[in-house]
Amino acid sequence: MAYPTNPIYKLVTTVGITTDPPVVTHAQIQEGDVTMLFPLKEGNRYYDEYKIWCDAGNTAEAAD
Amino acid sequence: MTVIRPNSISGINSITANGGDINLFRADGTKADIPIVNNITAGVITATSFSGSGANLTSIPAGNLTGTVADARLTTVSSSKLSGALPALDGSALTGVGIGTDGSVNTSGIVTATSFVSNTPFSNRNRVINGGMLINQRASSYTATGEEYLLDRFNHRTGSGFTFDTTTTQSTSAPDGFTKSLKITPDSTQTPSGSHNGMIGHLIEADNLLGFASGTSSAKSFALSFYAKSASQNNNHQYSVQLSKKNSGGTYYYQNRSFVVTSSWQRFTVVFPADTSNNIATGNGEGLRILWHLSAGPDDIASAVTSWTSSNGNHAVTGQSNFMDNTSNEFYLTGVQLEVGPVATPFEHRSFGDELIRCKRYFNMVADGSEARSGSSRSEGVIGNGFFWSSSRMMVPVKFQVTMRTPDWTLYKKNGEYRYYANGGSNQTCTQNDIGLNGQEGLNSAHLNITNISSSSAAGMFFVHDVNAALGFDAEL
Repeated sequence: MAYPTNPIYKLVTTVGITTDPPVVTHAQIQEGDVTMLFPLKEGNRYYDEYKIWCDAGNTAEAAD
Repeated sequence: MTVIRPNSISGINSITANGGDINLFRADGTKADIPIVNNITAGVITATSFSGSGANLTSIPAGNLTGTVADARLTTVSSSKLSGALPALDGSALTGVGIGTDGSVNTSGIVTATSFVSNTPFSNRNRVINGGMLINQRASSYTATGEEYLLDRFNHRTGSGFTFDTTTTQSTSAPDGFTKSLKITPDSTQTPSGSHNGMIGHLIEADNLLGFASGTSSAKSFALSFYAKSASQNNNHQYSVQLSKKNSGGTYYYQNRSFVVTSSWQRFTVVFPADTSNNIATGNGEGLRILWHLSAGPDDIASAVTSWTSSNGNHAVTGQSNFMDNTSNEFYLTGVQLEVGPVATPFEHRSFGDELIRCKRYFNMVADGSEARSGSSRSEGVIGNGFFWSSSRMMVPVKFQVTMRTPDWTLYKKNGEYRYYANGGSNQTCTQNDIGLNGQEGLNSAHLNITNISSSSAAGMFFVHDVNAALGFDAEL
């Protein structure tokens, strides 16, 4: 699965033990040679940056 | 003149001169010593010796006094009469010896006491984690243009979209008593404009700052110290350091100072005054940030701010140099210490293990394929034991070595090859994009969810499988 470069964020689902269908709880971004998978939670610094990016009118790639 | 030449005169009570002095002469006509005189009002008396009471002697010059003064004569000596260097004294019986509130004791000897009581801590003084730059869990080299963590707990920061295009490494150049430093160098030349910023940052968790008592009448000063140097190319560059405290309402109060680096290591010390007015937030969020400004646009450069001032921005000091003006520039940083009180004490060296454990609260590298021993044929690092929830889905619980700062951490997946081994040695590889979570993240453990695989086994083990792969948990501020 190729990671998208534009948009830079991709939403990710959590596959819970009892969760069916999966729900979107995370997003991920590529930083150099590292993929950062972060929760959509206030206080997470990646989420805070993601929120600013979304507020600027951007939209992340949908989850698989 | 009347001359009397008797062999002996006795019974005379008074000789009165007739308009002059009375002189005594020997038989040969020379002036004789005066044997007995009761009251001489003028002239000089010399004698082989003097005897009798000296009770009425006055105005004796101090230089004419020799010999030893009996101890009994020294009952009260005024302090104003004591001056000059003291001789070697045995002070074992001294009592009531104290030091004024503004005094200091300096000695190259050893001081012992029944107890020492201090207003500032004797241990755990340094609120900066990894100030000696020993811990570097993520990578051997960092190329960055934006926000990114580097050596543990120190991050690469930009402001207003500045292209802070640099490479950072853990250097072995260090001042005496240290072995490592953070080294950063530009990868391209850049000229900051407007509110651009290029910085190295260190953010401190709020609950680690309680000793400063900010916002109370007992507030303490912030003593910041660090070692820094430049390359010869940027010798004498002036940079800035900013201390920003975050209060419980989310507002920052800052001060800043400038410092001039040279190509030799220097220790810089800045004592920021106590702040009795503005508190520091509590909890596991950010409480304070230290920013080393290496580049700044003109809108963010002004005179040094020496009182606590409200601003959430980045502020450099007038005279700020541009670190990004030459790719041969270098900036080295180590020995970073922030402590309670008005004095910067020697750097508090903690053990490698102690420092590593502290770092893992903020970033915990669980497995790194590049850490295999030299000569090893494999680059496998164990992530954890797992089980197959279904034939296409493996679950791998991971227990953290240290409680993370927050359960809302970020999963760090270095791009590379990962592999599971199942019963009987069957195996299958996957990539970082096949590693997810199953909703059971916490402060002390995670539950990885591995997809895009297939297996008929019940259980197996999950590894990083090449030098590029690494997996960790990021709870940095």
